Amino acid sequence: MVKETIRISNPTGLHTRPGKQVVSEAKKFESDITIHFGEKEANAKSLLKIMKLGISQNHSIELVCNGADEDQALNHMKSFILSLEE
Amino acid sequence: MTGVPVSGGISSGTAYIISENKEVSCKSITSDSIESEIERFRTGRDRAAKELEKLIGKVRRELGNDKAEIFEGHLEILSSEDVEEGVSEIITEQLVCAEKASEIFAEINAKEMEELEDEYFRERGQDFRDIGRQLIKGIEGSAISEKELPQRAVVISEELTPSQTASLDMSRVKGFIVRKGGKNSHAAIIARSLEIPAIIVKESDLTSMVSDGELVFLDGDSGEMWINPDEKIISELKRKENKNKREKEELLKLLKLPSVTKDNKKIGLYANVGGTFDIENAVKYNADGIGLFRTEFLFMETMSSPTLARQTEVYKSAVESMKGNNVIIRLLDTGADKPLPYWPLPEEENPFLGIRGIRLLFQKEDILRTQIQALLMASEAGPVGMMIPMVSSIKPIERIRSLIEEEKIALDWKGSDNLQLGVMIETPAAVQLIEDILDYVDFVSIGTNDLTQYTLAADRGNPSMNEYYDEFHPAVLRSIAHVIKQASKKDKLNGICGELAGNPLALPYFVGLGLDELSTNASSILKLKKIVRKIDSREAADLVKEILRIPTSEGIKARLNRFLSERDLLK
Repeated sequence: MVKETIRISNPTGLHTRPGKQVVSEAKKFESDITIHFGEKEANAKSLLKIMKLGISQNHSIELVCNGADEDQALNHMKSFILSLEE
Repeated sequence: MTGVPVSGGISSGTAYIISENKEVSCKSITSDSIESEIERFRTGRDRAAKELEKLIGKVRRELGNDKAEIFEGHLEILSSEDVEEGVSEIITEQLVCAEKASEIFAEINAKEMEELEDEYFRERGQDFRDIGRQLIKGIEGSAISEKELPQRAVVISEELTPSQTASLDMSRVKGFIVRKGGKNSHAAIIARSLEIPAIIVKESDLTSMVSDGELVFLDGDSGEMWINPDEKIISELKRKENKNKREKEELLKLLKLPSVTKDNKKIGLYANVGGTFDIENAVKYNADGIGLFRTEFLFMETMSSPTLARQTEVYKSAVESMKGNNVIIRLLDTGADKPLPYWPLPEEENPFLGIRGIRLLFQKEDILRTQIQALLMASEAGPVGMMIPMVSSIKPIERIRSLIEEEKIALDWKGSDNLQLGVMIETPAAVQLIEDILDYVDFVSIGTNDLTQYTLAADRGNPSMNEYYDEFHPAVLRSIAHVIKQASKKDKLNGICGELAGNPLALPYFVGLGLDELSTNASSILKLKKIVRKIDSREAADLVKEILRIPTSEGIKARLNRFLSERDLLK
């Protein structure tokens, strides 16, 4: 299992459109990918669960990857979320 | 049956009924049918997913990728295991039908979203309700056969929301019959701009009086409709339709001729537009400019406010298509009476006297700043007039001026100075202050609908106020005269952009005032041009002097009628 904390920089946070993009990226990996936010956590492959976390700009989240391709998954998801612009 | 005409013309087609927003009647099920109910859900969900895929394709083609991604988000959620698990659980535990379970599931999730701290997320609750409706539609689809929009369709519905309209193929729609809404409802405005006949029929069982596939005729001038009419009525209607066609062809001969009076005085005939969908019409009817670009529709298209890029694209395309002519774009004009889905507003006792127009925009400065930036960028393509709605003092004008300067600095603006600032004159206060206002702005345009309602203290949406809401009231016409005279004196562009601008009866009065432009629906331009070209501006100026002395609306209308009939200009 690998994990890393990152800060959300895009202005609208993980709402419908960016959230959908995150889910599409997460689904490319075999590993389980979880987003921890405060006391809540959500499967990064479920848009419904991600949206219900209510992650906005400047929130810090922890990305946790667990599985065969966990290292690639963590690297990829981290840079993808940090590169969101909307 | 007779209703209220909202968009002229005669047409016919096959009835296409949209019945939606029905309450899901709570059907309970027995424990034996849990499995089959879950199966019904799965089939319905798959059907809803297919529909959504089609809509995504359509939106991508017509509105671009970023719009489509929102619906892709809906599809992602709709087809996820979370939804299947959640709905199945509700079916099993609460023993309700698949439709009801979907509704409950959507509502629970919408409520959860609405409890989040971030305002933006709270507004996403609506996304879940939308997904719920799509699911219900898919499940119900098993009972009703798939409906396809007929080649020539008359769309019949309780009301038409922007999203419903967006999903219709307008090239097939030949008429609209709706039950709710008024002359300025979304459906009515779209219908007029696309020149599709439309009427409002307030019968409570409208959608059950007609069945899908029946032949329906409607007359958007008289407000009448016929279901399966007999041969005699059909031939009568066809005759009328042909007559309209001939008149239209006659008017089209005026297309290339300038809009000038008999004695060669220019009266600009501008078009009112609501978005990209009717800019084409403004070009087609050779409008001298755009006198009112309502930006509300652009803000209603999506579940969030349009991005800088999207707004710039839309405004720029309007400016480009007008090839150097004036394009007056009104800052977002909304309020509690016409709220946006993602911008919930507190209920107000008197929304028309409340936080609307520029008052509301000042509360959401980020949205205002984005719109100002987009207008600045669009002005690189040609002249743009930024029009401030709901002004009742000088302060908002000064504030907007300084915001423009701030945004220029933020954008490191080195572009041309094509952006003009103007005010929509729609409050009695603005009329009283007109001389001062004119020192602060480049142009003014009178919004007669609101000016009438505020001057006469008569709610224009209230049917029992019809007798009091009167655009020909001397107080309204004298206010207009005052504004136009002062603006001409200071040599500032002036015009009228309300309903009254398109009324032929008022035209001699406006010509007599010598105003610069009248802005109407593009499809009315030629009709007005025909009359303008037969009026002598000096005779009209004499008429104005007379009208300003008449104390009643009846007297004024009679005088205007006489002026037109003496010149054989009454139809």
